[in-house]
Amino acid sequence: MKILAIIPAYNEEACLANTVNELTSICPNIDYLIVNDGSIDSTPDICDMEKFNHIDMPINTGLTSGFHAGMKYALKNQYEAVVQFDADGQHKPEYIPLMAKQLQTSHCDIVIGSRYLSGEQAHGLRNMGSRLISHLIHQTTGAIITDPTSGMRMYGKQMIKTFARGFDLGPEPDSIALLIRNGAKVTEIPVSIRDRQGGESYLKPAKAAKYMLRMCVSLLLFQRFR
Amino acid sequence: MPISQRLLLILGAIAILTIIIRSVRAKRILIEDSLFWIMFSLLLVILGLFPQIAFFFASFFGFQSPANLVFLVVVGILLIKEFRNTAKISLLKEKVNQLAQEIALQNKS
Repeated sequence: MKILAIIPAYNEEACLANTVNELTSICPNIDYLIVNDGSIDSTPDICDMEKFNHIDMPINTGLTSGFHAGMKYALKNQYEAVVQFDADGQHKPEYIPLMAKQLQTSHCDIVIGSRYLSGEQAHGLRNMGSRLISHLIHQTTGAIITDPTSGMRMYGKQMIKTFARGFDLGPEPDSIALLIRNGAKVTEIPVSIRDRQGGESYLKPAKAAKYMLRMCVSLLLFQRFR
Repeated sequence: MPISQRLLLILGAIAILTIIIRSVRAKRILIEDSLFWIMFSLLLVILGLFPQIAFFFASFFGFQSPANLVFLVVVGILLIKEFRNTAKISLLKEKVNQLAQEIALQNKS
């Protein structure tokens, strides 16, 4: 199966090289594309110097738009599956072949790498948010997604088309729920993740609150009208 | 506040909600950008259902009628929104310029 790992990168100079080198050494058969989303640090220089396969957004456009660009690349180059892969080193490449196997054997459209299925316990506000989203997805679609906010997801061929051409369809839990409603089949496999290996997290309290508001409104209200 | 005014607030909220849902459905607005209007219509509903809130603040600040306070609050919120929209348009202009420059430079090389 022809698999592409999309690695969105915004100011990830601290760990991008390590992440990509680890990915290519553990999964040599998997292609990758770094989407440099208008970074203002040395991320683009690292990509050029190391001759990484990458595209440079001339301005910062946000995760959703960068992901779209990656999906368009995947569609153009006829990939059969796409995996979202974090630049900060949280995701372990050894799970990608397992996700691909799950995608093929269960004939589903999306495979989510779930941290909670592997017995990991999360605590605090972040966990509560994730639980709430899980609950809302179950209420509105009937599907059980244990880890809706996991950043490690694999998308099948049909989903590549859907995302590349979609409107307001980001790599977020509300999009997953909408796709389930529209007939997509989603399964999960257990994965473990590491702490980020460098750089800074972008999730600040105000942003997290807006994110949760967006998820609630999107799942409870808009989902049935889209 | 008379019941007719409270009803007016709630009808206004329903109108806003209808327009927003239609726009999302027709792919004319991003969900992200609809959140303000959802919260705004929620505020109107709350003021319509619990006019005591308006009464309390009206007497606290010395307004003649709670309706005046509701006017001021709505105008205030929309003013802030308008300023933020202006700021956002400025940034969008700048981004379009940057993109045009980038494309022009790429065509040259």
